[in-house]
Amino acid sequence: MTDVAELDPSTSGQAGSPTTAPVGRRPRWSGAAEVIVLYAFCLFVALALAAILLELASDKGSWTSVYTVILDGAVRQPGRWGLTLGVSAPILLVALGTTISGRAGLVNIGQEGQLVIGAGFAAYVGVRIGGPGPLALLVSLACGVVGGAIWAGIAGALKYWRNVPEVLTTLLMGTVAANLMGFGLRNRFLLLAPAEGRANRNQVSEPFAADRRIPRITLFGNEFPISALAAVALAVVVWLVLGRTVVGFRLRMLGRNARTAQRAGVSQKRYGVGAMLASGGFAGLAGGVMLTGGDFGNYQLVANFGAGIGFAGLLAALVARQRAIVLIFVAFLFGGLRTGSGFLRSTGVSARIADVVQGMLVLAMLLPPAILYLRARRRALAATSART
Amino acid sequence: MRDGRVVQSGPTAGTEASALARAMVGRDVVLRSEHAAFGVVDADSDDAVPVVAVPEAVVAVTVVSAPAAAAARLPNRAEPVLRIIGVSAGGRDGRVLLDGLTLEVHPGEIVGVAGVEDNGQRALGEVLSSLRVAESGRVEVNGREITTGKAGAMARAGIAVIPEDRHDSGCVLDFTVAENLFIADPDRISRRGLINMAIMRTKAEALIDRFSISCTGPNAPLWSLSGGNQQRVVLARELSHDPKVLVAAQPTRGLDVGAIEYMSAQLRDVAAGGVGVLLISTELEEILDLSDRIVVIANGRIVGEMDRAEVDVARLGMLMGGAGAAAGASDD
Repeated sequence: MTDVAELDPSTSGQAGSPTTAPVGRRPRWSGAAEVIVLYAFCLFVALALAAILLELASDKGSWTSVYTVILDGAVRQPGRWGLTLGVSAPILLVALGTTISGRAGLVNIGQEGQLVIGAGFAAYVGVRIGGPGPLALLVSLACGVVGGAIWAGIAGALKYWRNVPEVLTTLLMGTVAANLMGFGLRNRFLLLAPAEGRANRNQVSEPFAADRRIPRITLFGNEFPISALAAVALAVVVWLVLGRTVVGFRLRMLGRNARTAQRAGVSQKRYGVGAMLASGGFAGLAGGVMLTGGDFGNYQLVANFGAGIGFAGLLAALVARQRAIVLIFVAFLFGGLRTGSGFLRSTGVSARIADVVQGMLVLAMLLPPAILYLRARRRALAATSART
Repeated sequence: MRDGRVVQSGPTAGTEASALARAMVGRDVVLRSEHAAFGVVDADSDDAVPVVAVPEAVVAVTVVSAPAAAAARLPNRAEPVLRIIGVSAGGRDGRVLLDGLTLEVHPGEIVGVAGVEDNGQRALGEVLSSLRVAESGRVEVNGREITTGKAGAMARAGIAVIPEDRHDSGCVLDFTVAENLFIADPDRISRRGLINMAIMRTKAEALIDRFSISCTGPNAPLWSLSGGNQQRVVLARELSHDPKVLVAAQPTRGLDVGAIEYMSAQLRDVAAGGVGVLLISTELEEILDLSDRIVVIANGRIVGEMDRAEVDVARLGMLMGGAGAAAGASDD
């Protein structure tokens, strides 16, 4: 035991001499500059690789024109940034939920399934209840929240009462959700629309009536649903709750050091399951918003309704490193990539190539957070071992 | 082995427990160490402590009327502030960690729990930190039973803990110093659930001052502090909650000499202020230096007890070694 203690300073001094420097005292801007350089470098490499790929594989224009088209499709063409906003809203909502569970130390990767279940709940209730349109809309969105929360809550309950890792359960529950959705869309008593008004074997749900849709507004020629604004407002709320309230404080404590939290009075079950419910609730809300917002199909459920928005939200949360305000921009970026590459597809570049370009750009944005995280982890570990 | 040197060695069969103990401490133990020199022990005010009826209030009264920790000499007259009755707990692998452990701590005294490492000290600390559920037995603070293993219950009841491993359950390394100072009781810096950053900052600065924590400010991340200063943050937080009991588990492990001195002085101060201190340590020297009363833990139960004044190191060593030899040998 004593021997280890004696060896320790020499090894840590050798392995990480920067750790002895007072890292906390570094001026802030140098850290920020480092981050920006890191992002710029990764994006540059991704763009360069994608350009090479485009030159090799595509006969429709050079790589510069491809990037121009992506930008056009995301923001520059008339009406496009409105579309991007509409696509970004559910991504932002999903990412906010992911941020909450992530801060509590939980790895929820089943947003896609929670989103689908939320959309299913919203669709089921939204076309059945009576009452004035706006009220019915709110009720069906609330049902979406409940649906997503239940789906994530099952994983949370399994984790805290049966010790099943939530990484597994959330992911697998996603598969179950997709199949449930398929089942619902084949059965009239669940989600399938009445036979009249749909092609015979088309498995879609009944569309929402016009007064039960999220209102859309037009700004500078760009039309988008007000849910986009609501999502931004929710981001501010989440930021405030996590950073400035006792509940958020305890949630973060649970995520950073569960045992300290336990002693300090943070019940793992209560806060952990709560975070899971909130996370699923946000994903469910995203599903409801996709359904009633109008940028994803015709206000009705179709096969494969999730369209990867749940995963996009998960990635956005990773890129933003669990900071709610940063998320607003990251979500817009992801929305832009989506609409941009969709536009690219419409210009004749094969869908696969467009997907590859999009994937590389996403990867470029994911690498810096991973590098930063690993470095912070190593630094903290080094500081700890050097100082105990 | 002591201080990194082998001071004595011999075949297990031919070693006497008392000799071993002496070798561990490193000296023929002087019965009244610096502790006595401070005059803390020699309180003669027998009449100062009333029989406790409403314990909480009286602890406060004791602070005012008998600062010399009169209770330390009169453990049996005052109502114990902490009472552990027959607590048992087992590990996941089925090993018995605590085996009907019974222990009392009175206001104003320092009770040292001596023992060879891995004889239930950790589990005892965990039970008192709400980190472990007692399978049987009970824990009482001022006569009120506290549910074991319920998040925050022990802390709310007034049991402050300086944990054996502060990174494990004493602090959050990724939080700031200020946040770490209020993790157990964020209500003091918040109103209606909203944290007031200004109040948090002022209060944190006051604590940083009072405990002379060396850091760049309340917003410095805790991991940027040295071990001794992290320990001070833990101490500052635990003491600022007006505890009734302070559990100090290996409070000086891994600290430098100056920090050890500081910690020892703090523990004495706290006890003098009427708090019952439970000092769990594997360093006999530390126990002998600080304790008013010494109990010996072995195999998860208290196997002996003696007053500081009548410590018999040979017997102490016998109790520690005799009962705990098997567990201890495998550990080193």
